[in-house]
Amino acid sequence: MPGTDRLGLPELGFGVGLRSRHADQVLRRPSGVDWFEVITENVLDNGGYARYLLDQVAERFPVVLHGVSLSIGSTDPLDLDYLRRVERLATGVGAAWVSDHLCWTGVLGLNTHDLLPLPLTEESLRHVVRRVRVAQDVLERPLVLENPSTYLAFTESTVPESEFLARLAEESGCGLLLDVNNVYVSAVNHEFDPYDYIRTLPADRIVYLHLAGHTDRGTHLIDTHDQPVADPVWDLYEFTTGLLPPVSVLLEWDDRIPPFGVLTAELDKARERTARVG
Amino acid sequence: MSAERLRLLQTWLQGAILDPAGAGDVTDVVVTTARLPAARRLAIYQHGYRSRLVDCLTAHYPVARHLLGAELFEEFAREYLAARPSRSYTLEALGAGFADHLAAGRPDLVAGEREPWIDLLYDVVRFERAFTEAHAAAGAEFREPPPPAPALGAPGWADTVVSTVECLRLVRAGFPVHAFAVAVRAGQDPPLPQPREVRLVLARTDFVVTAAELDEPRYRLLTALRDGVPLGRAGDDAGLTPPEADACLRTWTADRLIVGTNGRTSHR
Repeated sequence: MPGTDRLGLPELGFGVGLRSRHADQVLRRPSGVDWFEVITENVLDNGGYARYLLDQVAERFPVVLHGVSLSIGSTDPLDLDYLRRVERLATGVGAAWVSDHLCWTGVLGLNTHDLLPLPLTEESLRHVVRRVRVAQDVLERPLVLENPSTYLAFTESTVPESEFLARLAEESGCGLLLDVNNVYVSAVNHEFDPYDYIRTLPADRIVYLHLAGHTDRGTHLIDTHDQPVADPVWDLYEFTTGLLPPVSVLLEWDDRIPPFGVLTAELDKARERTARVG
Repeated sequence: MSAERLRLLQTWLQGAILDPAGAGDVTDVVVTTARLPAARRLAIYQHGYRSRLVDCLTAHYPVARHLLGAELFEEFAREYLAARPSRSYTLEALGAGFADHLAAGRPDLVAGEREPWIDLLYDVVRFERAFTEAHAAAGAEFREPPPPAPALGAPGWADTVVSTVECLRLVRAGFPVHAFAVAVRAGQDPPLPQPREVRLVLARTDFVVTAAELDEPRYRLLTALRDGVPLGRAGDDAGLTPPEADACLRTWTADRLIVGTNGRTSHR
C-alpha cells in the first residue's frame, strides 16, 4: 500500500457526525473534535434548523458531506439534478470533500433508501467507473466512495469487493472512504479475511476512515451505528492505521445517540489506538 | 455479465425487497453459507426496508400514530409503502402522499356513511404533513423585513403583490387538530377533539413551528396573497374592507409571514 496522495485532500483529524441534539456543545467549539460529517440528504433541501446548524458549524470546523442517495451503482440514469444540488451545497459550505457509497438504492425510478449490494463483475466495474466519472464532472471535485456493509452476495459476482474498490479508484480517479466497521461486518457475514481486504486497497486513495458500532445477531452482524465500536473493529482499525499515513477518522453514531461526551470518549480511543502504531 | 443482466438483477432484488411474497427461489441468485442461507440474507434487506421506512413515517406522524395505536398505524404505513414506494432521494418526501393514500382508501365512503374518526385521522395526517414541511422549508429567521407596501389610500396600494415565507402552510380542517397535536406531542393523552372547522396558518419562528387559527375572511385573504393575488382584489374577494386588509398585511409582515413586497425581498 504505497503512497500518500489522498487526491490532495487534507487530513482533518478526528471527527464525528453532526447531530442537532449536540448543537449546543458543538457550537461551543468542543475540544477533542476536529471536524464534522453531515448526511447530505439531511440538509440538501432544508431551509430550517438543519441547514442553519450546518452553516454555523462550517464557519467553525471543516465539514464533509456524506450522501446516501447517489446510487452510483444503479442502472437507472444518474440523477443530475441531485448531483448539481450537492455541488452547490458543497461549494456553499466549503465542504472538504463529498462522499457516498459503492451501492445502488433503487431502479425503475424507485428508492428503497437502503444501500444495496452490487453484483461485483467486470461489467459492473465498467458501469460504475463510467458513472463516477460523470458524477465527478458534475460535482467538480473527486468523489469519495465507501465500502458498504452487506448481508448478501450474488452468485454471479466474480471480483472480490476490495479488488473492485481498488480498480474503481484507479480507473475512475475517485477516492475511498474505508469504513473499518463495514469491512468487519461484511467479513463476518461473508466469511472473508478483513485484514486481507484492507491490504488490497490502495493506501494513496484512502481519503478517510469510518468507525461505528454494530449489532451481533448470532448468525450475522448488522451495521447499526447505535453503540460503541467493537473490540475486533478497534483491532482492525489499529492494523489499518499502521498501513496508512495520517488519515482523517470519523466516528458514526446514528441511532440511540448518546451524550456528546460519549462520542468524544470514542474519539479519544481512536487517538490512543492510532498513537500505538506511531 | 451484460449491462442488461445487471439491470435484471437489480430489478429482481428491488422487487424481492418491496414484495417479499414474489421473491421466489433465491438460491440461484444469492450466495448461501452454512451459517446464513440465501433466503435469510434476503430477509435482512426485506425486514430492514420496511422497518426503516415505517420508523421514518412514525417520526413524521406521531399524532396519527397516537390516534390509531402503534399496530394499526404500522399496518396503514406498510400499506402506504406498498402502494406508493418512495421515488425521492430524500426521506423528507416519504410521507408526502400519506394523506391522499388514506383518503383514497376510506372504507367508510365505500360503505356510504362518513365515520367522524376517519375525518379526524385524515385532518391529523394533513396537519402533520404541513408541520413537517413548515419545519424543513426556508423560514424568515435572520431575514430583514421586506420593503413596506404603499400606505392605504396611496397609489399602488391595491396592486400590491406580496410573497409569503416559504415555510408558510395553510390548512383547513374539520377539527382543532393543532391543539390535539400539541397535547400529544407533549406526551399527553388528550380526549378526541370535537368537530369544529378551523383554518390554520403554520409558520416558523426561531426554528419552532407554530400553528394559529384565522377566521374565514383572513384565511381567504392570506391564501389569495400567497397565490399572488393583488392586495385590493384579495381583500375584496375575502369580504374585508381595505382598512381590514391593510391591517392584516402589516401584521403578517411584522410576523414575517410576508417576506416580499412587489417582487422585492430582503436577503436571507
